[in-house]
Amino acid sequence: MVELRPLRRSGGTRKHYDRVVATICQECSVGCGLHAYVHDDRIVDVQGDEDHPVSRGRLCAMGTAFVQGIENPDRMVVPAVRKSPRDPFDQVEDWDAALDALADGLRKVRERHGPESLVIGCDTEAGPDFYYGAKRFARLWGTPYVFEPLEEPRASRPSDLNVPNRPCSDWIHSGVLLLVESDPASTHPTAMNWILDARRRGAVIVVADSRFTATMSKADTTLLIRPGSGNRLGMAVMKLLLENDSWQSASIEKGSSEAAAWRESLSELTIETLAEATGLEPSRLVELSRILAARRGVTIITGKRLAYLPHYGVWPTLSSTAGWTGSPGGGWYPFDSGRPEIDVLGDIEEASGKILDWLYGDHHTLATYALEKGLSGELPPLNAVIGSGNCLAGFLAILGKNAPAMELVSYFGSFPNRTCNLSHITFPAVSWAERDTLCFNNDRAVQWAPKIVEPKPGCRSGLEFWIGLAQRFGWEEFFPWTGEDGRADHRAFFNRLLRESPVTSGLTVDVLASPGTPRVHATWPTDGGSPVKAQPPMCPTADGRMVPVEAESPAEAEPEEDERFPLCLEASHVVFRDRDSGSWWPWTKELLNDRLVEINPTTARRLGIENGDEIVVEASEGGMEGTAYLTRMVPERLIGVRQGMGEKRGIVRKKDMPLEEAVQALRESTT
Amino acid sequence: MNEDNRKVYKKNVLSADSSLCIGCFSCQTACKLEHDLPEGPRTVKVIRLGPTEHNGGLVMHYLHQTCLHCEEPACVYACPTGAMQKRDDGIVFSDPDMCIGCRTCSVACPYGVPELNTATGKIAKCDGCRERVDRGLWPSCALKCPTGALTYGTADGVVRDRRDRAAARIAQSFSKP
Repeated sequence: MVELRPLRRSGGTRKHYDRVVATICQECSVGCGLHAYVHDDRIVDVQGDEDHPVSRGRLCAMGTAFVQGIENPDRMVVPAVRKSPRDPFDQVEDWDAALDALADGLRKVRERHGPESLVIGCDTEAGPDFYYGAKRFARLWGTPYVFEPLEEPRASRPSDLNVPNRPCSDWIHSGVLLLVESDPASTHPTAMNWILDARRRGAVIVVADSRFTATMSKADTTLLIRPGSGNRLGMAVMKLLLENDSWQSASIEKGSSEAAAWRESLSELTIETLAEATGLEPSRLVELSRILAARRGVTIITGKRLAYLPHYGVWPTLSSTAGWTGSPGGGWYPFDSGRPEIDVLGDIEEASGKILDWLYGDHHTLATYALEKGLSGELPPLNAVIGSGNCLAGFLAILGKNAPAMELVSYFGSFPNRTCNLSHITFPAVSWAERDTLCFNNDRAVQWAPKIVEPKPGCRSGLEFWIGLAQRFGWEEFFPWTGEDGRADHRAFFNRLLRESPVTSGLTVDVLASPGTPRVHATWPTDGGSPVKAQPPMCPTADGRMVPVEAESPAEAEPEEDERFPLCLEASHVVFRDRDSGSWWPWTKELLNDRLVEINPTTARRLGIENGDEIVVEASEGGMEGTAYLTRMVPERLIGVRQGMGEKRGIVRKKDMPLEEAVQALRESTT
Repeated sequence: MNEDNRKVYKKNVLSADSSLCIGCFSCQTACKLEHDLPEGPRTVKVIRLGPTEHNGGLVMHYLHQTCLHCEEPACVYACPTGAMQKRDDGIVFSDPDMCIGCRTCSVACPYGVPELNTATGKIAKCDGCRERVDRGLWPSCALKCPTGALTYGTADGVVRDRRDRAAARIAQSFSKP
């Protein structure tokens, strides 16, 4: 055997420092170990923790440059209020005045429109304390609408599986890594490192996505599928593997008590239907199933987007049924859904029998549902938003469009982004480097991350925000985490979270923080440890009961054809644009121009668009201007935009070309 | 081996393995932060090539670009003040105390590497992280590359590393079904 002795990396800093803080990078959910060199309470350099089991000394651009967000001159450090989003902000003396203004505004909205008119958007940037605090506040308040990008839709969880998970470091034992609609090279580079390691050790890398991604550039086999059809690819694979008897029946029985039901439900689907739905030739589906059947240790890595689409349960079912789950290098690894089941509401009685967890569909689906029902009078209209990060331009972009008409929008964050521009009251937030916190990562492990520097004066944590707001409604007893100094006691709060989850109940912050113990703790099974019974997809209604949302037929491939908007829109992810702070580095635009709109050269030729042309992307509601960037990274039917528009279909045209003419040009050339 | 060659083999080099580069911008941000560079000079660039059609499919590559630290550096010969220098260990750097920002070096360089740092009015280019390597540390871009596409060591060392990795890959391919 060849002994591989990689070059010894020699890390450290040349800069003058007085202390080093070992913590966890929280720019994304990989959970990389990070050492920060600090001088006079300022971060002067950072580098990866060479001994960290997830990141092995590596960091990505975000982990290297996050300090730019802390010292950024654009960062907001004083609360501010204004009467309308058209007025300039008036800075207020302190947080108390701003919280008073928010509490007054919320009371008025509640009197006029009821408690369900409040929506809370929890960007992951605001931290787990903001999210779990929001859940508690929302229950006390009586609104079901708490949105958070990492929250897993309940209906997407497998019905009969308790799937053990393996960390990303296990991929080096894999025979095949199948990545579906996930692009770790762009979003999670340190996790991508494990994929490259696996490839080096002989694993076959298969990537299926709707566009050509950076991850695809390292793949052995690439499958360009229709937008949003990833879960159907899983159904096709499952059907082919079942039909061709690629599996031992014992493994099927062991893997899933519902295998027979799966087999039956799949029998109604033809491979031709699934080929049509995924946009792949049947022969390519067969090729994929052969690759998977021929090798031991198959891991399926799925992107977060799939969790919001129907039939997501196919992945753990497939992985378990095929016997991949539990074998070395095998299993299912969903990205960006790492959270154990934590019951933070056990001590609060439901105010009015409202459903607090959303159960089905993406955030847009439920937010659109609530908006539409509000407009038609079936549900209370949404009239107030407490938004963190840049949620109104991100996962709640659909609400962002309606925010100008809302009575109260408040913002908890650090930068004058779109969410801030839509708001009446702003609360400056601490950065993750300025707060002690628990981290839940993609490996489904929990880590303790101490703060690196003290918060900027005027900035507070999510927990402090909710404690302050709750005090104004007399709910102190439900937010008892105030220390002797009058500030929030984060350790006590996180100890409570650890206690409230069956998988972390033996742990305390002290245990996690003690230097002698391993860095990664308490991994939990993929379904959160407490299997949820199968139930039809649901949405809450005005009377607090559930109604099934119409299930989608598996044959439907993508958003229905639209004559006016014949192209699909998709936000392309780039590592440092994923988060709000990454948009504010002084040289972000130089690395990647966010005006660029990706267009396939063939589509561009049909529309008379050339590289660098000024163009307009139009959708049914709203549009955006940009600069054409012709690239084969997007297929002919897809337009790649840098920022989510909250729209799935649209068209692109030259600035001086009428919309109808563009539609006509595309139609003529495709018929 | 003659004396000159022996010297070359002892010099440290930055090795870029395109097969591991994922175009993640980490080297570029690491350099910006290490040298406190403003918007403008791009001392490290990763260029995306493709996707282009190949055998009925698409392929795409990333190409890492920085100063080559030439053996016969035109920028050093062209610099009117002597700010641009080549060290014994091969590093070509511009001493900001002597640089007048005239950009003669930019014109002389066959690759257009030296750029102006608009914040200081001096030339910005890869200086091989000379202050770091003098302390025995890896250059910032190599240290912060998340995939190991960039490595640093003696010419002997990085070549041996590549050969080892290739050998391991071949050996592994026999051990998989």
